[in-house]
Amino acid sequence: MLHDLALITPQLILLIAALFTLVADPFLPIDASRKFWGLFGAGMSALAVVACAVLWKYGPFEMHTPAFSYHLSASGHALFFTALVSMCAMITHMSSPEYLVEQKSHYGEYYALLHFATFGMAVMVSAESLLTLFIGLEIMSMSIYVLVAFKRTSQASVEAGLKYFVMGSVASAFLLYGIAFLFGLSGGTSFIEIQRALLAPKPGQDLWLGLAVVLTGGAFLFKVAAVPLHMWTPDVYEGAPTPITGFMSSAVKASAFGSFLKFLYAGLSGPAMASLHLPLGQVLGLFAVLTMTVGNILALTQRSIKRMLAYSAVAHAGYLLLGTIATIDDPTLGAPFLAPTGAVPFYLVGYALASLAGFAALSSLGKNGEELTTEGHLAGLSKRHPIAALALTVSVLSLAGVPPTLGFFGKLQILRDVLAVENGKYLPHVIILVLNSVVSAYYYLKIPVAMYMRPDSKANRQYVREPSLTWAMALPALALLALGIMPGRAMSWASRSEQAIRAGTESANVAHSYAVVKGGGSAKPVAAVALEKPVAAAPVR
Amino acid sequence: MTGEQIMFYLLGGGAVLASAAMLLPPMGRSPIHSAISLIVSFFFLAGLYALLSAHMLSVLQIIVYAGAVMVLFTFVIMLLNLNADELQESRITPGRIAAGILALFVFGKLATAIQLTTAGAQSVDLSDPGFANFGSVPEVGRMMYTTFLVPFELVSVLLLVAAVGAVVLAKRSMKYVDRPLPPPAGYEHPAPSDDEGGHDAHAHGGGH
Repeated sequence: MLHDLALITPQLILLIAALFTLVADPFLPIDASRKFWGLFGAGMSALAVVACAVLWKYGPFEMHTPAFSYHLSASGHALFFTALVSMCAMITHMSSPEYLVEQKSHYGEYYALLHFATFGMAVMVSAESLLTLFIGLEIMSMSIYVLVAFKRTSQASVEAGLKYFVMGSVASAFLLYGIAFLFGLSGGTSFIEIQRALLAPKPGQDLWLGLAVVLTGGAFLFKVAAVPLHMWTPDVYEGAPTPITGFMSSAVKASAFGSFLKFLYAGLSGPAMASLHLPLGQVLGLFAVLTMTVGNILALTQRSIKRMLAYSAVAHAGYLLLGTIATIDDPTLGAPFLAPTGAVPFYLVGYALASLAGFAALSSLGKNGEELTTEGHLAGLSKRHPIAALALTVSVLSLAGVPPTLGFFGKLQILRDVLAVENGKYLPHVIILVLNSVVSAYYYLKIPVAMYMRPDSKANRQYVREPSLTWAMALPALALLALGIMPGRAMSWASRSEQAIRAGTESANVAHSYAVVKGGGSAKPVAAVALEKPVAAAPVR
Repeated sequence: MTGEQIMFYLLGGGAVLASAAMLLPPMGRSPIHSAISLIVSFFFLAGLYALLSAHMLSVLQIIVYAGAVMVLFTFVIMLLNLNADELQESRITPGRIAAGILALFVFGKLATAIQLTTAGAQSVDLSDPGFANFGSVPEVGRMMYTTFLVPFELVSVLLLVAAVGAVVLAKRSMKYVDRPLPPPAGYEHPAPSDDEGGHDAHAHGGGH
């Protein structure tokens, strides 16, 4: 039990931070609350990152270590994504106080909800069972719904919150329905039980599995804002408080893709999926191409920078979906998995950092309850606030995929991996991705052009008072450049994250065959065997 | 037909009828009547759960759904107090036809799947001593505090988030103390003369 608790230290830190904020906030004077909570939140999130790093490095654990009767785990995958979302939370905590004061909506609950959302994400990406995954997703979504509507005097914010709530609830219902079918098929909720059940075909299995794939897949596509389930994105991203928009496009997207990968890889693979004859790779490829094209074309026409970045978030979901294909490589066809190079987690790091830097810079644009985030407001920002202008420039360069930044290597990795699938089976998709990147450069570069080449207008003046906001822009931007110059380390982390899912999946399969050979086959022995005999993880590159 | 089967058809038929009454006129026209039909349907479902030896679930169905959730529903309906004009006559639109066809398709698939799955299945004799505790309160409690401890605890976090969120969103009248942050020490004002917003904030900040 204590061992299990040690495995979920990062999650516990986030939960304690949330509860402490909630309890202590009423006792703090207003000025102290405005000074303290942002720093406290950033510190606790950083502590969660440190806890992940310690578990990652010194934990006496295999790659795939389930805790609490196969409900949570501290696998490399879980730790990587927990650290990523905690890092996003740290930057968001730093960029929030000044924005909230300027928008006249500073309440202590904001920070508690932000911690709860991060906790939900951490649970979601560490989930070893669909039940935990769903509850984590709901904790995250519930907090985000409220955070989106947090500027309660602004109609746009409340409308965005309601829209997201209604649509998100429908998506959650679909996910739950799909999970119910998987439970009915396998008699268990943990990935290992589902894998075991899907090894042997049963009558009627194809129909149930097909329904489950459609329902759960639809829910995940909604969460990552893939076309045609992207309609909520622009309104919600525009209406939400700017730091929350940054949090949504970085952490929510990262955790959704993290658990989607795990779900595809660990939940929906094996012989039963092969007998379904569903070309999962082709279907995802179609969604990816649609998503990136529609996102980029709609982004071209936007005046508001927040709205434009919302459509760019849709486009990036398309790139990531394409990367997902390389990772799963059609388990439906029974083909062997590719060596997991970690294209999707790696891309997510670059994308999350770029979003955080960009939205932190946008958070500084606004005063007296107004957000000043159209293209016109950016004119001459380089004179007024050189750090914000520089951070925003690095951010959009990374989003566009310009070489010295991390975004370039992320895209490169995805292109390389997707091309490697069956000797260029997805070549058309890759060509469309490259064309899309070219299109996206046009609207991304409008931002630096406005900031550096347009004259400053007096009406736009504002300034940043809080050093934490300046750091919130500067840190991710610096990280983008540093990791862009030395991407090797981040790449090996990302690939270890994907190897961990693979190790988990393989250990289930190996454990099954082991149990079959020994004449066993019931639930308990298989799980036990999987624990005793984890497959030696492939060496980290 | 055994007694169990007769009970099943009675309860199942009742549930279907009550659900139909919820949606279709004349009952379906008034939200309150719909809500009452839903309660009736919940009671029939509770009976079905009892038939499946899920006593705990059956009782929870009545306490939680027919009790708490439905009270909430009726309160909301009465609070909204919709009149006849606001409740538009339901019309048949292409979207609804498409939704109906899709629902029928899913229903057909589910029916086929159930047929295929149960074709060769053997029924379980629940009077067997091995199933003595099946679906009972102690058994469900034991599961909740052992195998499903983590999801159980996580749900409590979820409920807390929901409660906090509801308070945050609903307390719209809470007075906001507007005190802009003072500029940090050593901060140099970029252009005090023509920066209105900054100047304002500066003056306020100086007051503390």
